[in-house]
Amino acid sequence: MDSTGPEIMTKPKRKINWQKVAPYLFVSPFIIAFLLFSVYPFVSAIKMSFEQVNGIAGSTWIGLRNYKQLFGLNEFYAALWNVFRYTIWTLLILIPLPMLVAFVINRKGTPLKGFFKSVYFAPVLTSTVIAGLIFRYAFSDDKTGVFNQWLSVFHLGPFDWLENAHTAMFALVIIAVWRWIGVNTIYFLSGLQGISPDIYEAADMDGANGWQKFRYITIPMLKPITIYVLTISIQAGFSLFNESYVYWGAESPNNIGTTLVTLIYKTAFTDGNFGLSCAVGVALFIIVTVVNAIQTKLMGLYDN
Amino acid sequence: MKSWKKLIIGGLAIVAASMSLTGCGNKSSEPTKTSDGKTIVNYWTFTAIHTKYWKEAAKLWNKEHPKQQIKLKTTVLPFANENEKLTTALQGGTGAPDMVDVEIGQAATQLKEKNPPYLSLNKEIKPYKNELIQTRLDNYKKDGKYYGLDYHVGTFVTYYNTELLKKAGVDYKNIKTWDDFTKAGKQVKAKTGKYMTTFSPNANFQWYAMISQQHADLFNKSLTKPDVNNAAAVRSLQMAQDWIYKDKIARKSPGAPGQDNDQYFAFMNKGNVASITMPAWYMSRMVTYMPKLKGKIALAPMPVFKKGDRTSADGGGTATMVTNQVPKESQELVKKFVVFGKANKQMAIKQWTMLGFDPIRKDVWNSPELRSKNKYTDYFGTNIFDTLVQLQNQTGHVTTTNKNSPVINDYLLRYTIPNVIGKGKPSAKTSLNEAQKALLKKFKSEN
Repeated sequence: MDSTGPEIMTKPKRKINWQKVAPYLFVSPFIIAFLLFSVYPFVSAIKMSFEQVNGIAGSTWIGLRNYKQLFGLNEFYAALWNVFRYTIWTLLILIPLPMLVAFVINRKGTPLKGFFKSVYFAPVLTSTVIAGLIFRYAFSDDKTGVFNQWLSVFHLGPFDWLENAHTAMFALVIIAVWRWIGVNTIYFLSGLQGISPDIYEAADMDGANGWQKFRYITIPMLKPITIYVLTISIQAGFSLFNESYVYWGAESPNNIGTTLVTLIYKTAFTDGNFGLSCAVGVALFIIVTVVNAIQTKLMGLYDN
Repeated sequence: MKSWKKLIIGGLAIVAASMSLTGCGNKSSEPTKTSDGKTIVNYWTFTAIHTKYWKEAAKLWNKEHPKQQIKLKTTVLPFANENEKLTTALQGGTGAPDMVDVEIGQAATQLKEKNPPYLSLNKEIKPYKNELIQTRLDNYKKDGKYYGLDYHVGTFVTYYNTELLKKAGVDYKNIKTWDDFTKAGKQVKAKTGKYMTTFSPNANFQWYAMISQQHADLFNKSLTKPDVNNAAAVRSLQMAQDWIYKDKIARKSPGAPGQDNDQYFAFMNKGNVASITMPAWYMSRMVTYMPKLKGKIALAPMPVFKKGDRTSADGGGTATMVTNQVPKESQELVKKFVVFGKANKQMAIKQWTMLGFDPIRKDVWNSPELRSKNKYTDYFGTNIFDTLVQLQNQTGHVTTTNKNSPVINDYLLRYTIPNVIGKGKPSAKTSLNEAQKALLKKFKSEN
């Protein structure tokens, strides 16, 4: 009796149902990293946006003062306008164009498919900073800058590309298109490969031409992918930073390259005003969420 | 129920474990002394050559203070990166070095808090104070406390390309006023087709020097309000705009920032421009990046607007400061070492011989070491300091280290200079009136 007593006590304790626990263990690294590096900073950023942050000296709650200051900043509106225009341009170019490229690459009979795929994808693998540096030289205001030299063939220019609002936006959009066309093409390609060839065959039987097939089969069938690409493009557009930073650093003349994230960066790391910086971050979060919500609603993502 | 409990406990344990890992970067766990008893001093800079300078200083210090030996650990970071890391480390209260180079433009931001995260050097500076050039000390002063010492004075001179001027039949020695300069510029442009000078659309150096030489500032006297549209500021900026867009004797300087970038060096090296007005430290740029101009460059005082103006200014600068994260037991030592490294006579001479800078100690400017042969005298001739000594009492600067200076600099660099110089419109007066209005509003909202 004596010897069995403790056995009975300990046995149920040791009994862990690994079948049930295992999945949680497997996902725990991600969950912990997510809590530590995403949720915690997110929550504390919201808190800091209502504070004057004085480093280790502590923070003082100042209510809406940061937001008041933010709404009085010209840079904020300039940044909003810049990222808005930038996003529109990238959407106008970076959805139809990759779709078309993917369609052509996916078509039966297109030669050198693998080659084209890798060519379009290669820019993604270059670091934005390196690419940006090269583009910065290409957009030099000197006559010998690449773009100015091309234009001189048409007796135009030389332009001060990076000092003028319109050409600056052009410079930003060009680098985005060059860089992201490959990624979006890959998304659309994977979508295209999910479309059953039977449908195209049926269309062929009905005598549909290439354009009709693209318009009435490909585009509608790609809708889920399109929504996805649209969503991440909007998010990426509003969070533009790298390209602007390599062209101008955190400050650009007349705010032609100021974006919401360069503003976050500048207020935090140049000015040391972390509270205001968090307020910009919160504003950016709200804007992107609202825009994405409207867009997904309009595209009927939640209809089913 | 029970398995849930375990799960939660297990989860907490994992979180706790990962938290303890983050504690590893903590400063307290770092040793402050080497095994042979030397105090470890961590130093950050954004200029590689400065590490050589400080290693030299450490060597000299150890020789003179055998009982308080130092082991210097240096880290070189890119310019913007250094400042950002420093800001974050000081705000976070951990991770900052013991001593650090802070560029003058950043110093105002670094020192803007009521209790800056740096240690006052007053006591250590005191024995040297009479030898040091006062205006350079004031740049890093706040509420009567000195927080750093510079590497140089940055005496402004006008560098002339004598070969080009000769072709145009101009003798730079006859250029005394900016009017003379403009006239000479027209002659240079007409005879050689080259530009007399350049002016930057993205830096404030030249303009600020011209304001300060007229004894003016960008603030009112009590430093409570901006005064960016004063006559001196308008006059000098308008002159620069006219050079480029009306007289066409100057062009916007290529590249960024200012005239201190590789694009500009290449442009200047080709002999495309007859003069450039920059601080004395620009000599090192010429020697390194403009080999073709060797033997062709003459140093001269800046032209003036009218009699009584100063013929120079001091510009740029980088202070070495001591952060408040130095371990208590080595604070006194680090402070003494930093001041020794800058103000000691032998080190002041090295500011010239190693770095090519005009030293912050007045008395060494006349010493023979500053006239002995080196790569600078090979390039510019042996009389460099004979010219500079004449300018020693001619320097001054606009206020750039007030807590509101970043606001002013930021605005002028973002709007005024890119428009007036970069685009050629509107006029300096219109643009500066606008700036004054906007800045008054900003001052009000921030104070």
